[in-house]
Amino acid sequence: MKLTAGLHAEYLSFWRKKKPAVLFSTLFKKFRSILERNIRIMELMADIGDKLSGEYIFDRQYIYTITEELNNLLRQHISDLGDLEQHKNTELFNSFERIHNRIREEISGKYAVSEIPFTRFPEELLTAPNHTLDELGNENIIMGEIQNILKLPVPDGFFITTSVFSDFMKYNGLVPHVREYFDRLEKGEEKPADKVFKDLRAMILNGEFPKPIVWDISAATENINRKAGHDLVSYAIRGCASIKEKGSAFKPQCKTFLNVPQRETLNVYKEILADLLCSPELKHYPEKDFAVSASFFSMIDSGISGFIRTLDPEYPEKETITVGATFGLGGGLKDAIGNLDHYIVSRDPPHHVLSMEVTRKDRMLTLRREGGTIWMNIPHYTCRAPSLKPSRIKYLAETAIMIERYFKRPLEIMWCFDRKENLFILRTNLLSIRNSNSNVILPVEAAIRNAKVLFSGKGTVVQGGIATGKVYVVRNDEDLERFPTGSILVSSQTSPRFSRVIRKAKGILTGIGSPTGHLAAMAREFRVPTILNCGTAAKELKTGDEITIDAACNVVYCGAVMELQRYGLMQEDLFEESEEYLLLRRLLKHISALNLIDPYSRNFTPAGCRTYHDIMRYIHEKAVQKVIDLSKTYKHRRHVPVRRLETDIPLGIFIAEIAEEIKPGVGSRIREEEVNSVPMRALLQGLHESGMWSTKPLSVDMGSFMSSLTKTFSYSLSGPNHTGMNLALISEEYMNLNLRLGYHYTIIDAFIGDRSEDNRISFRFFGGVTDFSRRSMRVKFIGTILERFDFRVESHGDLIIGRIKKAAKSRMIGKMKLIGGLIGYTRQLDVQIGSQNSLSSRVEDFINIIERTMEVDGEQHDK
Amino acid sequence: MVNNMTNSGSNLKKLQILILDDEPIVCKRLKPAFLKAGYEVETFTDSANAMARTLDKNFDIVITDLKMEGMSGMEFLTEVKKQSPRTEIIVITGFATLEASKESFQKGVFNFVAKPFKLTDILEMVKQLKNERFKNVI
Repeated sequence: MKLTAGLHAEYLSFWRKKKPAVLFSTLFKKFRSILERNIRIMELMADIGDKLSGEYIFDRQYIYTITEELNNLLRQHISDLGDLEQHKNTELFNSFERIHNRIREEISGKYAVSEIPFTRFPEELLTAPNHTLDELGNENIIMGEIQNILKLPVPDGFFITTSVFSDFMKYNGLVPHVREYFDRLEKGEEKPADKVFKDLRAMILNGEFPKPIVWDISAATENINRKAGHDLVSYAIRGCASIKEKGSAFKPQCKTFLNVPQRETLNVYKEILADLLCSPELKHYPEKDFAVSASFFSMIDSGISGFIRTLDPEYPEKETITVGATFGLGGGLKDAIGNLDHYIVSRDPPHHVLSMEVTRKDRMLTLRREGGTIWMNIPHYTCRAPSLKPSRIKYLAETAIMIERYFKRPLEIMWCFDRKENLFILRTNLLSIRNSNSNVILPVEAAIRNAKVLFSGKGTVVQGGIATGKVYVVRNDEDLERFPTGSILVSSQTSPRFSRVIRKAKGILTGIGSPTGHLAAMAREFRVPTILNCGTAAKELKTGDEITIDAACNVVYCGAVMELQRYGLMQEDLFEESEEYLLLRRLLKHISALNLIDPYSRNFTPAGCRTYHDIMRYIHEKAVQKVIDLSKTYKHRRHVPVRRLETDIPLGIFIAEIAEEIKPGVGSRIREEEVNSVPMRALLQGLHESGMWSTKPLSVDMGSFMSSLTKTFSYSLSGPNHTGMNLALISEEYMNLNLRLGYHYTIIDAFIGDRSEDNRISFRFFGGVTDFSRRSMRVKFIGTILERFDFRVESHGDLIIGRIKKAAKSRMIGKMKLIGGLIGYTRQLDVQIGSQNSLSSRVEDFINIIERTMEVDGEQHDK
Repeated sequence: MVNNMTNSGSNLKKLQILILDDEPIVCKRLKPAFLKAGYEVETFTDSANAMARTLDKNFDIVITDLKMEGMSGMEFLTEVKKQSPRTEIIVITGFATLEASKESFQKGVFNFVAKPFKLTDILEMVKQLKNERFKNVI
């Protein structure tokens, strides 16, 4: 590159006297590569987030490629910091290797620590690596997600993993016996199956558990006792058998044992195994593909129990929910047929009861003091009463639809209300729907063709899926408080406050908003179909309008396209259940999460880095510090490569010149007129001539300020401000400026020379105090301005990037002036902008002023 | 399996699309999207099977990956074009090099798309092809 070519041999012999001298320009080159690489790493992290929206088609190759690029960038980053600091960063490299290995394990599916624990608590599933499905089975994973993500009430309890099953089988030498019995069945022994299995059953029931299993289960039950505050907890124990063979039609049936006292839990578990293994259907499956886990939930003394089906399996087009309910324990449901109340409820909120059939319920199943259950007669004056009040039916329907929306499948949910009328979710199964595939295609296709499109391709999809419902426009906190369950949230902008109602919302549409912001993350977490940045299209919608969002295709239809909603529920393969989606989500935990927030905290160390983002953050901080240290080292020397810029505007910029020749005798300060860099001079001119810089202090409301401080700390706040220094690396044609002003962090990288081919400007802007919606407005403002002046604009959350290249020198100078004006104007812009209207007027005001400033040598700017 | 009639009884055929990608996730995600949009879709993760199918049936549009085990996407699309010059081809690839793109266009592909891509973009591309080149289908 021209700016570094032919540099004089300026040695830093005075810097580290006893070490070999290092070219000053070499150190700056390292610093610059770190800054440039930071930007690329941030772009890649934002890119991975985008791919989770469901809007993109990607494959494993994408995952390999992007993680490999990140690995290489991080390696080079560490190496460059080592060169800059003149020592090896062994500790940092170890941290990188640790994270890299975890990423590699996730991608290969082979974990260094592959031992599966014997027990798992549901709350552990949030952080456990990806062998949870294999170790727990789908039914238990669903219960974990209902508790952890949807935050719905599930009884206290724990799971027994498949490793208990495999260790028990091995410990008791049962594996060959199972095969032998299956072989005998295969050969067509004349004995009936139950006779063949009699001995095997006895062997299983007489089996013993290895000690570590007993200890682990005992520790888990003690934990549950502690939570309950007594040691009389009894359990509902249910086995969960899984067969690895994809598409296996055989679903082993497991029964639930109720009110099992602690002393009996292991015996009951053996009964579950015996029931499952002595099943003739198993002969078709090799032992290695068959596994058993179990759930141990503390027993709820329920007053009412039942099931709820979110769609009629026989007639899905009826769009109804079926509820079955009876008094007492849910275990009585099977035997209560004929004694069960039935309610048919509308799927649409407010879930009107369409029909009900209340039967005479003579008896109910209850808990027996010494364990197990007992049938009790119901007094004649209550036996004809409906088991459920309308308010409870509505509550059940709302809860069931919320669970269905998350799993994107019709469900059958077992539930109960305890004696204090608290609802508990006991079990959730996927519901098989008749004609679930081919027959839904034709009606959906016709329905889409006939449906009126309100808008299409207008916004950014942050979570795919289909939502049908009534619009509810949220303008303020009061609207939010009144948000009706099952509505579609429409707003001109996003707000972190929307997370309060996200579980109630069927879908979300906003005029503006950040695809990597807080709301987007919440929408993905709860899988609420969401399109942001719909612009004025969202403005046309009014509360009460019925619409259908097809977020995967980025289309919003007028009215309820029920065929489309049913189609969404009946899809065979869900993106959110695909291996690639789950893998990308797990990888993000090792890549994008930021733990190193405060550079002055104790854990701000190489060993404290737990993710790639942490490493990047650490390196950036150390690199900036190093350059500042270098400037201090040179302060009283004859050659001063870092000098403070003297200017009327308090920018606090230090200039580091990467000149072909470092001139002797220059002082510690540099005046504006002495700056010989074309891009830097243009930038300063833009600031001065536009008059955009306002020194008048603007008030920031404390709520906004606190909201900014309490939000997840992002890289955007990790600028050179911590050290109070804004640094510009310049040469005659080049400038790299890292500028922190207030809470905005700007990076400009520009080359402006005589050859149009070489010219480029990259402008990156992020951060900012005040609440999220105003920051989004600011992103919109900058984006609009840059686009109006031919920049290619991308935005990722708070970060906005504008690029322009290969334009003539005079035009590029005009663009730099524009950026100067933007820096001055946006310094406190998000504090000033209040609404969409004021945003539009400010865009026009800004353009009117900057047009005059951008004129260069008599040329008109090219808006 | 193939439905050549619309609800109204018209004789217009649906646009026939073949998708070939050795990564099942791509087929699993593209198929329902195209079906929903009203096209007839068949997906393959193995190029030999896809090739065999094209001998039985002429597709209007073929969407294919390039880098695959066995017969490569480039060989596949060359064969398809030879058999059925009217078939339009869209290449989707995670290895989008200038050379591959040049070669694809020389062989007459309609478009060359780098993975990852937006679902709506490829739907739009097919819609455009349908409007321009396959006016006699629905």
